[in-house]
Amino acid sequence: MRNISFAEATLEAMQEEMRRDGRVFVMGEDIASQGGIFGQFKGLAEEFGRERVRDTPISETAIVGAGIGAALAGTIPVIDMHFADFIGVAMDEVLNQMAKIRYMFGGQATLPLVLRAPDGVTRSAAAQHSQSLEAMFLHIPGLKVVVPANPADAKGLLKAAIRDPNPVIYFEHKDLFRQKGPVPAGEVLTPIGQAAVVRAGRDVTIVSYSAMLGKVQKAAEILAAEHQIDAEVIDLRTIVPMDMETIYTSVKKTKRLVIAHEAVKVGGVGGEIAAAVSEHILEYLDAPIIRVGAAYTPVPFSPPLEKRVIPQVEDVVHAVLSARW
Amino acid sequence: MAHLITMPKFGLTMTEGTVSHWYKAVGERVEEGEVLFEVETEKISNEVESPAAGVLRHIFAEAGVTAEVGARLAIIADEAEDISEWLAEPQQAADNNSASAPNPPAEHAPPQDSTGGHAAAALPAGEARTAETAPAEKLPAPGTAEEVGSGSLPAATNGGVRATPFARKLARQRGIALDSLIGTGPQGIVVARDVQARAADQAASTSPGVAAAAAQAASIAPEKVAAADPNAWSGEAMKGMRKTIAERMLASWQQIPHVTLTREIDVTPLLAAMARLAPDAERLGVRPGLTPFLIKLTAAALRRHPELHAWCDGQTIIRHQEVHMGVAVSVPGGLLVPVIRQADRKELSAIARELAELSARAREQRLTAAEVQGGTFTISNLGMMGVDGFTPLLNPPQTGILGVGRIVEKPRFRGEQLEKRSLAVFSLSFDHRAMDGAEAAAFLQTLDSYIEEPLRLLM
Repeated sequence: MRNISFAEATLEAMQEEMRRDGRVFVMGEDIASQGGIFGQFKGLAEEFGRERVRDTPISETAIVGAGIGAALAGTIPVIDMHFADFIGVAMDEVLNQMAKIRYMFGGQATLPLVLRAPDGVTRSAAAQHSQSLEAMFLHIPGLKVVVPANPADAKGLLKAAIRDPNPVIYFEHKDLFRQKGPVPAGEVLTPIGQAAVVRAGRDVTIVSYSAMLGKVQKAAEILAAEHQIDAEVIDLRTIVPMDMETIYTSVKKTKRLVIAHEAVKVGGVGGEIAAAVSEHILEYLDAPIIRVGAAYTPVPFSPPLEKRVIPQVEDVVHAVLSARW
Repeated sequence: MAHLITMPKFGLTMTEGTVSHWYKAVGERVEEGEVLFEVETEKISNEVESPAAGVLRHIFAEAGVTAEVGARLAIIADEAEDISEWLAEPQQAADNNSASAPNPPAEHAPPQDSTGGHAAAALPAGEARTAETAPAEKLPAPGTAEEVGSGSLPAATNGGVRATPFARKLARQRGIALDSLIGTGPQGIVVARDVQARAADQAASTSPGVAAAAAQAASIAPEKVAAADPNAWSGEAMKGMRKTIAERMLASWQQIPHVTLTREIDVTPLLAAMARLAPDAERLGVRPGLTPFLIKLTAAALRRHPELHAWCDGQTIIRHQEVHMGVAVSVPGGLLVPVIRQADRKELSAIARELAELSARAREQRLTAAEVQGGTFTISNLGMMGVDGFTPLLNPPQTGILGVGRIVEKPRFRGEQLEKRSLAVFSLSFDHRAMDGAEAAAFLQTLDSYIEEPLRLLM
């Protein structure tokens, strides 16, 4: 299988979906003229023209609002937020319109819209360009939220999101764009709402997603080599709807649960998973559930401080050791 | 408002206690926090403070009475308060099985003190659910705690024990009382492996060999000896700590194949090191005794011999990451083994300080159950009593125990030179199920090398 980058995988998904369905179009800032900050839209305008690959003014409210209108009018918009941090500008459109329209129309209209949101920490982008905000959207009924961790899922989840009749927020971690991995040529669909067990193990379950998953996989190797701990690693892939069954099955086997994400630990996805596990399968736990997440602080500009705030491989190792009992 | 005083629970394994002394007489006034009575258990004796101010109106259990945890002991109330309904026999809640009976109102329960100690009587939730702890009409409406203790065991035996949910589930499934287990999780919490180890143990103990040994032990019971000539003996039943020690040592002797290795070690360099450090020890305010040194050196040696700081139940071996060093301390009426946790990671001065503190409280019989549980190895020093060497008995489930004999000056060849050296016999008993002689001997070798050159600790 070919090794291509995460950005190339998303580009391939766009190309395939735009060729497959003439209703698919994309809009956002600097998409046509620049090809996107991470090259994720490179060449799209040349192939599909500036009607279907549209540059917009810097106005997130207008972009999301126009996308919602276009979706209601029968097209399939993919809209780009440049940085996930800027969704906040368009929050009324997202939480009151995008998330609620299908419900408020009694299902008579669909909203096949994909909101692409590059998130996470990469190379000193500072506090306003480094956030991981997925937990906010977990809390808003009416949205689907996906969080690919590798190029294959980047392609598969983006294609699945474009074909989904519901609004999907597609979080793509900025630090993943350059990472390469095997991606099948042609049709790849990753089902939304289905987690993947990426490493089988029996001693502890570690749940993660997006860029953090890579650190978790490294941690799992260290745990196996240095501590004889056989960790099972789950890639959530989708935050909403969340595949709790896969988590329950794993925790019933391992009796221990660690959840790791790059987002701030407080109020994060980890808290939701921990609560659900203790609510439904408490009697299978033989140690406290441990969450690993960023410190409760804006992401610093300073590279050493940035590294310190964001959870690292050793933090995951430490968390697992403290959950071993 | 009247307050019901009940038998507190000190530590995980306590099921009953003996009221050894009341500090107040009926009719006397008592202040909150004032010592009210003393309880003697198998392991420790504790002073219990009054949870409330008032008059000691009634005593259910006079001094000398042994009562179950949670049983009614006394009532404290205002002088004029009508306590007749408190005195009434508690209703047998026949329609209300003990598992689903709710807690008595909080003010009946003395404040919980997790350290055990003498501070306050702990009334664990589970024990409190037994109907006899409070008059039934004082109870709030039932109906909240229904599934807490469901299954084959009554909740009353499990409620106060710290255990993981999975350990509880396993214990329920296998019919094992949680409070009969010693937890190996952090702060003594019972985890699944503790339940599994016990289940394996129970399966093993039903083997005919052990049953036969137990039957034989019963045939030499002291009552029978005494009955033969009642005048020749002033007999009394073994109880409390003596009984516990007897049971544990019998089990250790019968069920574990012990082997003891001895090695005479030259402690001259160790004594020299002690002497050099004495001024520093004095400055730090610690007693520069031999035992702290031996704890430190033994702990360091154990780190290199994990099979000796492990637990074995005959089915599984649990290896410990850290050395929790038990130190045998002679106390009136028996022997206690307080545990110095993470002895392998502590500084010498910290060990000395902790040892002094624990020994003092051991002699006052004021150790908490937590302080005598969870040891991974034991040192027993009889050297100061003039013993040359002995066979220490294993303290189950530990796989090793080190006996220390007295230091004797003897002539020794060093090369061609005859020198006066200080020597002591170290006796290591080990569980032959868990390891073999060579491994145990290697440990003594390591220990010798540390004693011979304490500087090696710095490496």
